[in-house]
Amino acid sequence: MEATKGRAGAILHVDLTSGLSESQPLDDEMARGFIGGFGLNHKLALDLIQPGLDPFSPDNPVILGAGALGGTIAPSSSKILATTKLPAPRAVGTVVGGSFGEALKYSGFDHVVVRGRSAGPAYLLLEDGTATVMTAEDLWGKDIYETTDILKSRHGPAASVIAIGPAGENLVRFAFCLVNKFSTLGRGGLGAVMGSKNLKAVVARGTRPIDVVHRRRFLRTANDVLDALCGLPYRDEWLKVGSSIAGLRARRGEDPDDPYSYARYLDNYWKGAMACPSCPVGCKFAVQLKGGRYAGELATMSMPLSGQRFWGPRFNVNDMEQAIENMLYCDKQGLDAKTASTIVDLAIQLYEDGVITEEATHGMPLRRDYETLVVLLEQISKREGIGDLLAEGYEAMIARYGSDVADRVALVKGMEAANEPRELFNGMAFSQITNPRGSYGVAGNNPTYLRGRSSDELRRYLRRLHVAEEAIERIVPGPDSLNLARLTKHTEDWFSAQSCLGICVRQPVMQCYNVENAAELYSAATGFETSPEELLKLGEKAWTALKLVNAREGFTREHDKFPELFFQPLERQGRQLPLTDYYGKPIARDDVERMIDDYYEERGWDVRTGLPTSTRLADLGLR
Amino acid sequence: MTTRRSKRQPIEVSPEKCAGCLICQLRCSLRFFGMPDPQRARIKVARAVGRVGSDISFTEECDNCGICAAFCPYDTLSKPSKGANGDGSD
Repeated sequence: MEATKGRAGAILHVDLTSGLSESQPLDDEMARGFIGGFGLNHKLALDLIQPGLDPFSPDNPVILGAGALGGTIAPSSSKILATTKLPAPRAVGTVVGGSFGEALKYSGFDHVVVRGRSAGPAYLLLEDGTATVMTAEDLWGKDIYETTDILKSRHGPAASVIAIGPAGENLVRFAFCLVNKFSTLGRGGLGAVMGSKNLKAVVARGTRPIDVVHRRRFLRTANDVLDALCGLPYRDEWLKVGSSIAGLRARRGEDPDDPYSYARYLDNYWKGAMACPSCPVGCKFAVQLKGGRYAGELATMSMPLSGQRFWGPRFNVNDMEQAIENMLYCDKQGLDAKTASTIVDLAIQLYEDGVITEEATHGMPLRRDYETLVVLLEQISKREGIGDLLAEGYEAMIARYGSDVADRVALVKGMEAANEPRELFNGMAFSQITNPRGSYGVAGNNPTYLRGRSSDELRRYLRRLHVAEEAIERIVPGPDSLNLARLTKHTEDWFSAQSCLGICVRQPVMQCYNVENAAELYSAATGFETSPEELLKLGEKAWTALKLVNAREGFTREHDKFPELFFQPLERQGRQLPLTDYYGKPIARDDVERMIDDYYEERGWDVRTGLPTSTRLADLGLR
Repeated sequence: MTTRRSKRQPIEVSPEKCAGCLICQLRCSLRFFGMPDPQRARIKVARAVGRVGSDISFTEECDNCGICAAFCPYDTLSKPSKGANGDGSD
């Protein structure tokens, strides 16, 4: 069978209840209209996700999608995207992880829609145009590492594996997956959705190559991007610390006695760089701990250095190994460490203040120390003791403890707002408020990641995104003046376009891809000639489609609510940090409301409701 | 039958440096088949279990052309520097 060029050409529908599956051709109209990945997942969500579903209902689908460039030689294009109604925000969202996207394409599918619930533990095996629901009785209860190792030894090293751990099996509301043991997938609780379907894993392996329409054109541009990535001046550092690189630079001349020094990490624990297929700037690491539960074992981690942030000094842990160990525990169990660490911190605070008593903890004192973390994380994953309540997340904790919890944590749509605007009110800190999937800032990441960007730099950034001059004028009206909310819209549209293509959005990849070469690669791969402006418009369409799905779920402006906590000054190392704009000017409630007004206006949405207008939907081809 | 392979030095491998990006497989298969097809590449790469890097081997069809080494971003593969006949001549 001759493959359709530029895509695998099929959308698979799997019903876990019956075990049956059916393949639907991915036709030109759908492919042109939504590109792939993020966009096409959202089209499928619009068609298939009934509003008002419980996330654990068998009718809640898990929609997997590769990007349109997945499986080609486009660098860093192997992303996998999964769309579902997520338990933590109770919103429909798309989570993104590295690798698997290319394997999905090689197995013959661009997208897979998984519905229903298997009677017993199962995994889905995708191979060369076929899908089989396999028993996972022998895998249930195993952690993600063990599960993945078994599946790879069973199906060969070329098999790509997404798996849940015990946390997902036990429906911990913030459970997620690991892809090939090293990439996280599913902030917001994808792991629990899969657990509710008794779906332990999805495995893809195949021999169906992806061809492109214009080979020479494609090769030329792919080679340019590859050269740019390999030539990045900071590449060597990146291969050691990945996305923690900003912190590494800030620490030149660090204190050798610092328990969390980069030198300590590199000398003792870092064993090598790991990469997703097609990527020359791998951001994952082989890590080996010397002591503790995982002594001597080789771990494969996305964010070992985030161990400090999540499990370190805030819990009086001043041992890097212990911090990484708890990070690794979360990875293996399939627990989102951002949420887990915030909830555990809350529980300890409540215990310290006498709100949670030893009756609630079954006699266990909750101390701010490593040993307590080990026990609490296990209790959460297994739903034992107070872990059973914590596993239910913020909603249940607020129901039990009211303002004692609600006043201590900044939540947006039921998820902690992890990007702290009081440290720097940047694109991520704003985007987490309005993202339809719940609090998630990555889609809004742009040069404002760093403090003090000049107006010229920001205008240059906008011109690179082909934003019209009149828009640039209202976004960057003058020196030290930035309309962050309007800027965020354009950043999100580019994120969305990249996510339709399956391109990674890590810093080095973002520096080497641009709207021109991305549009060129897409045009050459598919034969659908697409300008950079058209690509960005399709990105906007994909983003708006997700908003539309959530509008049907009842989300409005009311839910894009800036947490009250952020209006109080943040105490940081003895200093008080008030809420200010990106350039440091203090701002108050009505300034933030105006920002949200501006965001909707920039998107052409109704400012009062926060929803896309029918005019905008028609303009984007969504009605 | 003499193959072109027998005229070239084998690719030198440092398997512990392999990051698993599979770019070698993508480029090898692109050369032979006009499209990336890792399963048909003449270089086999499998992430090692329990140790850093990958298990790397070459199929019988490999002719040591060196395209894998030319594209490897992680210094895992290299063409020997002695010349194709191992004595400085080509």
